[in-house]
Parts: sequence; C-alpha cells; structure tokens
Amino acid sequence: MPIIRNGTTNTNKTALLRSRLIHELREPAVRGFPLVLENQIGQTRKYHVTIIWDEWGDLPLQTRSRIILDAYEEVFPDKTGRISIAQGLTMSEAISLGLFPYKVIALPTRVEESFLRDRVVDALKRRGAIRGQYDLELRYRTVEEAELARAELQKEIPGDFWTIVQEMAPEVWTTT
Amino acid sequence: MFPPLYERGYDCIVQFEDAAAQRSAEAEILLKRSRHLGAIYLFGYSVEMRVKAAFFRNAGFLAGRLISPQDRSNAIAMSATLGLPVAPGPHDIAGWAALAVAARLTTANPYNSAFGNLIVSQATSLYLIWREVLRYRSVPPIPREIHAVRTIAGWFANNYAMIR
Repeated sequence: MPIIRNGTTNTNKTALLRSRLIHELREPAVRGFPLVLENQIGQTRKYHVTIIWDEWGDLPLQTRSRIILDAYEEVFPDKTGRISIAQGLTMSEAISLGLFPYKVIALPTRVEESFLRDRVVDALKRRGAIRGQYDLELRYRTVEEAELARAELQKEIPGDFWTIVQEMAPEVWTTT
Repeated sequence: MFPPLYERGYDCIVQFEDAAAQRSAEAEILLKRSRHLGAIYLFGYSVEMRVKAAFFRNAGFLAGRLISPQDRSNAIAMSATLGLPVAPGPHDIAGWAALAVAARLTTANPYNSAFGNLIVSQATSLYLIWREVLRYRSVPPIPREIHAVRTIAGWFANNYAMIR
C-alpha cells in the first residue's frame, strides 16, 4: 500500500531539500533556480531572504522557512541569527505575489505570420519560459532584465514579435 | 444630521483593530450558514487590518492617530529600505506583514526570528488564497481553502497581543 505523506510530515523531503539548498548556496549557478534574493533590512544588519525554487512543491511555507534558515546557518555562519525573514516560494507563487511583474513574450499572431514558431518556442524554452495565461513567457523582476532578455532574443531570432509586458496586480485596476 | 456612513469614523490603529475583530466575528457567522466565500472574504480583511495595525504600531504611530493616504504611501515607499523584494500593493497582506516585521526590527523590541518568520509565513499562506477581488466572484472555495483561511485568521487573532 502506498504511503502518501503531506508536506509537514515528509521529513525525508525536508532533509533532501536542505542538503540540496546547502549545495546550491555553496556553488550558486549563474542561471536558473534556486534564485536567491537577499536584501538588507535598513541599517539593522539583518536580512530578508527569499528563495524562488519549484522544488518547494507543496511544503508548508513555515517548513521552507526553517530549511532556508538551517541551510544559511550551515553555509554562511556569519549570518546566523541575522536572517529575520526567510521565505521560500515556488515560481508560480512568486509571480502571484508580484515578484516577477515583467514578462517577455512573442506576440502569437506575428509569430504565426513569420513561420518561425518552432524556433521561437525553442528559444523561449531554452531560457526557462513558463506556460503563462495564453502562451510561453519569460518572467523578470525588473524592466532592465526584461529588456536584456528581449534584446538577446531579438538578436537570435530577428522579428517584430518580441515584446515586454508589465503585469499589474488585480488590485491596481479594480480598487483603491 | 448624520454624515454619510463611510465618513463616520476614520482610519487609525484602534479602528483597524476593532474592525478586524468585527470582520472576524461576521466571518464566523457566515461560515455557520455555509456562506464560505463570504466568510473567506471577511477573514482575509480581518488579517489585513491586523497586519496593517501592527505595521503602524511598529512604525511608531499612536493608536488614535489618523492614518492618511500619504501615510500609507510613505509606508509602501519604505519597503525597499526595509528589505522587501517588492513594494506591497494596498491589500497585499503578505507584503504588509513583511513590512510590519521589518519595521519592528528597527525598534528596541524586535520580534524574535522564529516569530517574525511565522507572521510572514502565515500572512503569505493566506495571501496565496485570498485577494480582495473575491468580492466579484461566485465560485465555491474548496474545504482545504476554507480551513486554511479560518485557521490563519484565528492564529492572527489569538497571537495579536504579541504581534502588536
């Protein structure tokens, strides 16, 4: 009989993610995930750490927070006790919370007209595109990062279909 | 002659805290009548009021002082200085909770790390389910969502004496 454990009791997963995160923090990849956002809180010498990683899966946020604190303690002992907010989010959660408001997309009708769809899809996927509401999209935190990605794509596959869209939180257009 | 209802009272910490308790009690009534979406909607607002009240207390506001639109804008503008990865929107419960925790760090009585993280985790868990746009919806929430939102709202109510 299979045993299905929920995120809270799955200690194996917790231990595995902890050791993987330690490895990732020691030898950070240039691109891809986990993506670590580390911000100092004012003049306090305390930090707000957010780690975007789809490996969090369905683990409760509190457990993710514990894993981050443990991994930081192991890799950066000088920062022990100085991480005041440790947040682990999947990419879709991070997008939902507004952390990646800029998206680079290829306008579908223009792509179809250019007969380059396969190449466009391949270029987006190679850069880690996710399935958005309508089509594949690359997500970025700043407009500068999005501009850079758009320029790279434009260089690889010239065309008038590459564009940047800034996603607004629903509350911005529905209410005050 | 009464002024319009929306002009009676004003935004301040005490009103936020009273409103949070009222919305929470109303949510429980709705829940008993199986009005689940309405209950979730009000539970969410009760948490929003508590994290905002906590932020303004931590930022040094007196309990009865008017909180103006400019004060809210100033608070949001503080988010970068306070280490938030993104500035919170007006109803961003997760962002306001992080602001409250970060603002408390700048005082003589910061939350301990575990409690601060718990506040942010709870608020973020709620905000991954709740948005103010729920008032435009007529979809039935699933039991797990109802349970999570009620539990989190209860946690904020029960721990508010330590959060504030």
